Amino acid sequence: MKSSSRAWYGNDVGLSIRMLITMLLLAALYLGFVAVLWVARVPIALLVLVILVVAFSQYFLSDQIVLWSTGSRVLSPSQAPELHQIVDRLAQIADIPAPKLAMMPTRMPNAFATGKNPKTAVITVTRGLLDRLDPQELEAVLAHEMTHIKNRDVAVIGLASFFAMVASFIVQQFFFLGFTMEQGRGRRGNGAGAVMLVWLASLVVWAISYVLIRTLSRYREYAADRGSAILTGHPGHLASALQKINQSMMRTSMRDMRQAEAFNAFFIFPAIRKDSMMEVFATHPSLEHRISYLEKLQEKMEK
Amino acid sequence: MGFFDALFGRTRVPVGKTDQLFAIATAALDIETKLSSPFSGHAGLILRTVDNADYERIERDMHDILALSGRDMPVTTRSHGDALGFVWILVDGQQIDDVINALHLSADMVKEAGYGDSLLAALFGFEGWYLVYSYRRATFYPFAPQPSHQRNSSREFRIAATLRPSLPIEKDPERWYPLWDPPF
Repeated sequence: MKSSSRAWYGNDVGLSIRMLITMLLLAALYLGFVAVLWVARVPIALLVLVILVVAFSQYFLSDQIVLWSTGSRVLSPSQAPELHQIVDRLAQIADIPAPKLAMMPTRMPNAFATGKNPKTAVITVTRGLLDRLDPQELEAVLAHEMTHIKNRDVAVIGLASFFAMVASFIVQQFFFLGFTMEQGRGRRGNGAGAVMLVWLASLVVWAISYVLIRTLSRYREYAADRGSAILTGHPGHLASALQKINQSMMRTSMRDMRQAEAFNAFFIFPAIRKDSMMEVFATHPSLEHRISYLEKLQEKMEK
Repeated sequence: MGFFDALFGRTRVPVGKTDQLFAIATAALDIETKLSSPFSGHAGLILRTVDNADYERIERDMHDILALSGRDMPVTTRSHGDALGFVWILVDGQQIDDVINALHLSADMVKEAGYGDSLLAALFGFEGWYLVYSYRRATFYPFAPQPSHQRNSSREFRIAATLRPSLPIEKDPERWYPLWDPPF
């Protein structure tokens, strides 16, 4: 008999701590970045402009672009009754409004969730996913995406990468910004040094944040895998879905792969060939790590 | 699900709230007189299953206990696994009070065993529509299915308006989750 205070799925304190540490490191990095910009006396007006441009593009374009550019179509309940039925039940368990569903016409099996809050969320599944997975595996994949929605991962990763985008903007627009800075400070000298400092700081921030954001992204994937297991009650269903997706991914044509590559961070499974990337730089944990994480969860459930 | 649960990616499914289920006992008369829609004698509890030996044992225990208590309560119970992998505990009886008691007993057993998060909903059959109790939110809502996964929304709206004084009706219509093809 279990005590009623502890749920059958327990909890993963370690994962939360690793997330917290990663987020604190990012915050420290960004604070340092702002300090450097301050010391280098970057004109406030210019900085505000850059931040507004980045914030605008991130807030208004991010998920809309994904939906448009992948050629996804919204699926109505009468077009896909079974899929909606699965989503409705999962939404009732997770206690969120049932998200909209969309289908992306590609043979590569994959899924992703967009939307900054549960009310506007959309889960997109590919044709290939619907063709290859059985209903219980589909349920597990949808539950993974539902957990991303519940955890507000689009907003969390968006926020975490905000200053990284500012830094990368500065690195890319170096010549233009340097020129504007020179103009702004007049002929008080020492300008070239300050511009160089800002550029170097941006480069360093961009590089370190890249690794940290991807680390955070992998932890969020583990959390979504865990959420899928908890919502469905069956860790094994997600494990078998991931294995199937991996197998057909290796058979997917290079053309389909390239088409999808830009959206990797959003997918349940990244569209890259195995071993083409070291795990520290990857958005998702390796298949082996995800399967063994799910196995550990299943083991704990039997105790 | 609070702010920190989202920030740290913690998934927690709250234990189902079973206490409000009894509200339907007093509302049953309203349903019969105001909606002229008598209880069909069929009701069911829908459960999400958990993949471990402990849960399987509880399912077996529940059947045994319900079979035993069926001798005292004038109800019959059976279970049914649906295409989506959920389990229905189906209760048939003429008196709605007996049916409520049997459903409550089942839900309580699931909860006591530590799987209160598996409780999804209880459905009561009426003529052409169902009254759904959501264990997550401790509220009721009507569900009037029509062929090819359509819902009779105007009828649901009318039923909800009529029952609002006597039942805790779910205020957010986005949480009126459909439960298609109940096996009764």
